[in-house]
Amino acid sequence: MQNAAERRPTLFLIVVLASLFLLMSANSRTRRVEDERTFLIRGVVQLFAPVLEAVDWAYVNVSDAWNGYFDMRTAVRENIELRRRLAELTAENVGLRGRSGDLSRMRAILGYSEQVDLPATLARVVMLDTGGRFKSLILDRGSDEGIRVNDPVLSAEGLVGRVVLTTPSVSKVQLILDGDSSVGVHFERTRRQGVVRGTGGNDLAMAFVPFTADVAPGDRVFTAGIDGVYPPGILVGRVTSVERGEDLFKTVRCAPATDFASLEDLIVLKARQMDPAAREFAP
Amino acid sequence: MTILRFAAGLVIAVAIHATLNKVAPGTLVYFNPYVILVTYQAMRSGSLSRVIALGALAGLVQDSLSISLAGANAFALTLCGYAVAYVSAKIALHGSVAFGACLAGSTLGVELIVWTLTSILIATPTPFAIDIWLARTVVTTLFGLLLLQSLRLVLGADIVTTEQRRRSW
Repeated sequence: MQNAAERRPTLFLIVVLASLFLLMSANSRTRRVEDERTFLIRGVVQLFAPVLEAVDWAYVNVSDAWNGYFDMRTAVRENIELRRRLAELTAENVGLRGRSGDLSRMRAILGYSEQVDLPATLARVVMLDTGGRFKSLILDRGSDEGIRVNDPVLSAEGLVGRVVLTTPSVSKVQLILDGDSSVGVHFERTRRQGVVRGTGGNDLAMAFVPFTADVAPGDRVFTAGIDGVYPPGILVGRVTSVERGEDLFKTVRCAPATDFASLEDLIVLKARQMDPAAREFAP
Repeated sequence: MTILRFAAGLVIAVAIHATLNKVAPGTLVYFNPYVILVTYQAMRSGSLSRVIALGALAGLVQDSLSISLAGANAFALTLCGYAVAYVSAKIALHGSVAFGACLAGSTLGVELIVWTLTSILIATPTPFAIDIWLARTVVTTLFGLLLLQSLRLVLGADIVTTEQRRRSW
């Protein structure tokens, strides 16, 4: 094979290019997210995962050492501030506990079930790719930790995206900013449902919002739980502009709740573990 | 030996990619370490088939670390690596200026090929970002030239000589 390739490099080039074109066609963006069709990419990710983890380890240690002294000085100031905040929050907590008990009693009276708590795992971002048209990141936890394809990923601020590929030690996440990402949502104020899509830039666009819909800048947008991927009630973003669009729809733009420039530790909800049948309905 | 050298280069490219990603994520829009690696190998290696295989491998690594169209960068890097190896052998290119010119051509070529492939294979429109491509070409070329000078100083390594390349043809 090596000798044949050496003798006929042009033929070898054609064979390689044809193979790559077939790979592209099989993995084109119209594909469904499945592990079986991405085995080659999974293999390469797994092979280079130690390099990514080593760089992450070095970065964390160097930046810790660098920031250590400055952190110590600010920690003293923060400690005083936090003690004051703790006193305030303890008082607030006492009040909220009382209200929570009232809410539980009302739920029992009205026949509401308690919201299901999803199992979750904390994962660290080892690589973030938001530069090009496709927006993704790589987490330092994979299928060994129970992460599956289509598991939702959140930050402390709000929704980040969903897992699209897993290997035993790392997993790849499609961000909601990605041009091919869609999330079923509703407005907090009016409860009107819609679909938020990534623009490929740094903001989000809402599709198919009727011209008559009551939407205003500042409205908060939450997941509606209608897409079979994201559970309801996760903050997605806030409406930044509403304009008259084509036909009978409005053009609505949203700013994501999550600051994608400073992602570090994220939460992966193991939604697929709870409901294996949900994967069949995933887009 | 070439394979080992390339493997080390690939690990360094991934490490540079991951480090920049941590330290200054914005810079990755204007920088492509994999093109530098493939162009350097294309000008250094005397074997076209080896350059084809190495270009495909480097591109697959680049593709696997993002969610871009799997195989698009591999396709583009293979084609550009082959073109650089072919031209540099026929015209007997060597030296920093030739390397810079080939690197600039490859970087722009990769962008154009990836854009064409994604436009064909993906339903949603792909923006024709020529300003970003040109910026990436300039930054990648400058960084590649800096890296070449460093390699010369540290390892004494240079682009392959004309005689070595002729021998392979």
